[in-house]
Amino acid sequence: MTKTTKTKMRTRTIGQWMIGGLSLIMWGGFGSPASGVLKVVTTTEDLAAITRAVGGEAVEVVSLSRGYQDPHFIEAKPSHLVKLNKADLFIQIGLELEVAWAPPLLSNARNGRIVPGREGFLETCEGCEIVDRLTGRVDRSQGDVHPQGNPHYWMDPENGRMMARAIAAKLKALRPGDSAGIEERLKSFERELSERLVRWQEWLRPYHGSKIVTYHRSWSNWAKRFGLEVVDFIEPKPGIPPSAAHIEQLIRTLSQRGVKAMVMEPYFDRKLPEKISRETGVPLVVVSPSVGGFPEVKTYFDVFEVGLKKLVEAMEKGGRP
Amino acid sequence: MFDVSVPGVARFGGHDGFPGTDHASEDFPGQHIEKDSSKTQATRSTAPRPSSTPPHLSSAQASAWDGLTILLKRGVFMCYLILVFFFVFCGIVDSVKGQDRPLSRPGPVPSLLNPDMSFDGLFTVGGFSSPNHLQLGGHDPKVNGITAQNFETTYKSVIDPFWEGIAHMILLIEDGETKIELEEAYMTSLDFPWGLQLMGGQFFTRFGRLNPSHPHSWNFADQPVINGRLFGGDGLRQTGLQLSWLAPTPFFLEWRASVQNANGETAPSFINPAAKEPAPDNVYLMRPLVARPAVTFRDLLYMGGVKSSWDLSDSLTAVAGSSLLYGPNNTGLETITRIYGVDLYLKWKPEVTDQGWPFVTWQTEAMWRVYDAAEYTDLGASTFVPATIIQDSGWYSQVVYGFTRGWTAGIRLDWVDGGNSASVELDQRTRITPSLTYYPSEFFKIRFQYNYDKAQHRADPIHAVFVQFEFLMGAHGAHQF
Repeated sequence: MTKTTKTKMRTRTIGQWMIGGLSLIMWGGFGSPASGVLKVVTTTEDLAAITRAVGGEAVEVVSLSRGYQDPHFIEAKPSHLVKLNKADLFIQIGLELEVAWAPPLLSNARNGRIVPGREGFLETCEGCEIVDRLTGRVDRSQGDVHPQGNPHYWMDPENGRMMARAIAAKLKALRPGDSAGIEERLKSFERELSERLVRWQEWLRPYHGSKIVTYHRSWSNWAKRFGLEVVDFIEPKPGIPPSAAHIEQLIRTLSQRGVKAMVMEPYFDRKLPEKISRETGVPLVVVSPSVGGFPEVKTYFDVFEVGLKKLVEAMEKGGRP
Repeated sequence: MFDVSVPGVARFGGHDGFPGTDHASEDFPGQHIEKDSSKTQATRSTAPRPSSTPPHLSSAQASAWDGLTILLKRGVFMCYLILVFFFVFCGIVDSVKGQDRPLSRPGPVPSLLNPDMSFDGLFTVGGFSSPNHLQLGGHDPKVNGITAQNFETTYKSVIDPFWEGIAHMILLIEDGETKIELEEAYMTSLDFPWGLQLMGGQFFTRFGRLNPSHPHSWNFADQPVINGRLFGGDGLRQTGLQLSWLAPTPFFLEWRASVQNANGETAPSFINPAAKEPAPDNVYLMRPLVARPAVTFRDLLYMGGVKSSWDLSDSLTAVAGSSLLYGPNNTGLETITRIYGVDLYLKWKPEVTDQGWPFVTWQTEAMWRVYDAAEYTDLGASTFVPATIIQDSGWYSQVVYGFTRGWTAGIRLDWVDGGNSASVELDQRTRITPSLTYYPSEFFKIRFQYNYDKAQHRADPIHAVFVQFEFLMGAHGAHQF
């Protein structure tokens, strides 16, 4: 075979590869049309649960994290990019909850629809009551702080209502054909929320003003809605594990201030809090802050249904010596 | 040094399968051309007639036919290029259409106008058992004392609705002198269609796993030996463009291709600036270097690679990749360097962790360089040294175990071999590196490391002990998985 023939064959082969490659790229790239099921990717299971409740059959939802994981520290994997590449809508909590792992996923998903600022990007903090906004000097000497406010705002059912409205509005904008169904499901969600909230607040009425200690400063919205007062944290500063000195001070606080319960998420290490609970007699209540944190927490309402029941039972028992 | 006469014309052909064009000898049938590579010994007085030329044509008509065929082939190749760029352009236009909302980033209002800034300081206190240590990295601990490895300022921001930008500038201190380097500064597209992404600017070539990463993110205080040998002290980084494609597969599959400049300190395997130094510094791999200007697209550095990832379980993820580099080197005017690499990464991290602990990662990379070295005449010894192909290879493998919150223990094994036991650059060398790192927070670390380095050209091994410090101020995004 002469050199010319070899080069010609090589040229043809390369040409064929390029045409083939181009076709493959174009075929793969044609995303979902403007009608049909809306593909939604959320950062947490709570957002996924609310989206399913409001969107029904019009949406196909997947969450990047599980309810039993700490949403600050999710491992961003290449497989997440594959899911995000196909998404029509991306929903996150915001307020820097996902700042450690979500932004590079959005930059590299090759999906212009879900880039921050675009139609397919939603942060549900708008319209919600945000607490613990930091004023004055803010820096990392205070630990891993969230200067814009406490991102665990979904732990207040009234905020859940605002989140559902924001998600419903976005779904209607992206799928106007399904507006009627979405509006109906939103109304039904809000009705059930209002009914249940009344009941939950009834449960907590006898314990109004009770003092609690939590592991991380993640229960501010929840405590405010249900009339509880968070007086201290098992973590001395956000993100810093408890030291011996801090534990001693905590034990004093628990007895001196008549703390009724210690509340913590299932993903923190329980050894130290259990030890403190045994020493002081203050019950430790492990509450799932998210859907899927425990197998029985299946919907957004279950988060409060299961968690508040657990708290009330523990405080009842603790109240009797 | 060179006595090759190269016709002073732009050569678009290649003896090595460059797309679309014929060998240079056929451009000018009848010309006497001396090849400077031992691979093509042909010294022809007439070009061979391509077999598709109709036999009934006369010689003159045949040359015309040859010329036409060549033009046609070039034309077809140009059409391919235009087609590719047309679709890319359409993609850009498509994404621009209908986007009239200003881009807003989630975050406090001031960040809308200012980029995210951060500053990372990295320095090491340490020492070696021998002053002639073999550290190849420009940012590795290098002195008995304190090495100011890397002081990096980073700016990261969205540029407009379609582009994101990042810039890293580093300062280091060498021999009491402060040096500044532009490590990376590039823009990335956010909105190309069809799974494409374009990156442009100055960047580390995305070859393998370690080369694209920054020293402060390494799991050891210094870079692997094979990376130092093939890519030099600063890693392979150049100005250029990279296009990557996320395939529509259920698992992660990404194809990358880049074109960059091939010259400079940061591309020693390619057009190495030592050619500007007076002899005897004017050598690389013991071959003399010449000035080789970048004239055609053959004088650029090309990279092709693929990366794939699978979640083997909820807690175990694997990433595998393969990369190829093709570029000119300046031992001659037509010599080529090829570097091949494969990489494998496994990460185990349970679904529920204590702020990211525990975890285990295992990373292995193997690389192989095929370096065409041109012939030369050693004027001092009056000998003619024929052209040769220098092949060297190496690998490293490292395991890092984050055993409890804030602590990681690592071990790395380096192995390289260039087949020349007398040379510093090409001998067989093995290095073992255990390390222990403490992270009181995400923004600070202290690392203890010991190196045992045995090179064939030396009788004794080199021992080294380092204590490395890193501090990070400001916003710094997460690193690539």
